[in-house]
Amino acid sequence: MKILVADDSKAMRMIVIRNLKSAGFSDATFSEAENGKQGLDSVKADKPDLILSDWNMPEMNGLEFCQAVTAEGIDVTFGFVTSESTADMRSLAEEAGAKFLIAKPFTPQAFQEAISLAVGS
Amino acid sequence: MLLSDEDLFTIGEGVWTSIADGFFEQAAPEDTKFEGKVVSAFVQITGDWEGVVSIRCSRALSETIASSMFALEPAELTDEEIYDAVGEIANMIGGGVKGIAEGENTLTIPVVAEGDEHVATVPGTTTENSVVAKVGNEPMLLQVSTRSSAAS
Repeated sequence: MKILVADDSKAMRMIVIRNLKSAGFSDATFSEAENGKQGLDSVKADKPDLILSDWNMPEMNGLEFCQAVTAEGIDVTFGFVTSESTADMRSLAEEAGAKFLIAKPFTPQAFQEAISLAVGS
Repeated sequence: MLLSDEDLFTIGEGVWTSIADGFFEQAAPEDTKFEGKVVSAFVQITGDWEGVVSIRCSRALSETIASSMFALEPAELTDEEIYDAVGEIANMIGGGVKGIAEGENTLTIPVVAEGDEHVATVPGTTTENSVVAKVGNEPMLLQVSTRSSAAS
């Protein structure tokens, strides 16, 4: 499984990858992006199976990234990992094509459950 | 008061477990003696509940955390990586506190400061929770301050 983690914080990318490994994805191949624009380039080049993206990022934010992936018709499961998780944001995320939104702080179980549901649906 | 000191410690412990290995134990307030430079990180919560969540630890502990996070030797770390690591801990603890607060609230991005022992405060707030955790042999101070108009 190829997983792309997009976040402008290198620390948060490391934390997300650590939690994904604990959640049973230790065999996955991980790639990283610092913003949505870099993420979109990476999606086109590497064709990941799963994208986990922050919401607030420079250049292209997570919502714009998700909308761009959906507009391009790229077949990938997209989920957000973010500090903000209002009802409006969840609604915007869903409309943009995201399958889930994980709020910080999170646990490996939160990743396991959200990804299992999204991939299974 | 939004939460108890025990709640704050539990949030901190949960965040620690998700970011690093090793013990995160409750310590006595008098254990807050930082050796050398000090790093502090803040996030503010604004909206229906307003306050500040902060953490403070020694530069040495910051380096240990960042070293573990990035799988780099302390000497290889940049200041930016160290501040990023400590800032994200404050961000995640802030997310936990925000999850308890009722209503619609927003978390700011973290602000990180480093220096000799220093006062770092947000005027107009009152510290309501103060917990010391022991991480390895080093203390980490976790605090929640409430904006006076929201204090109860």
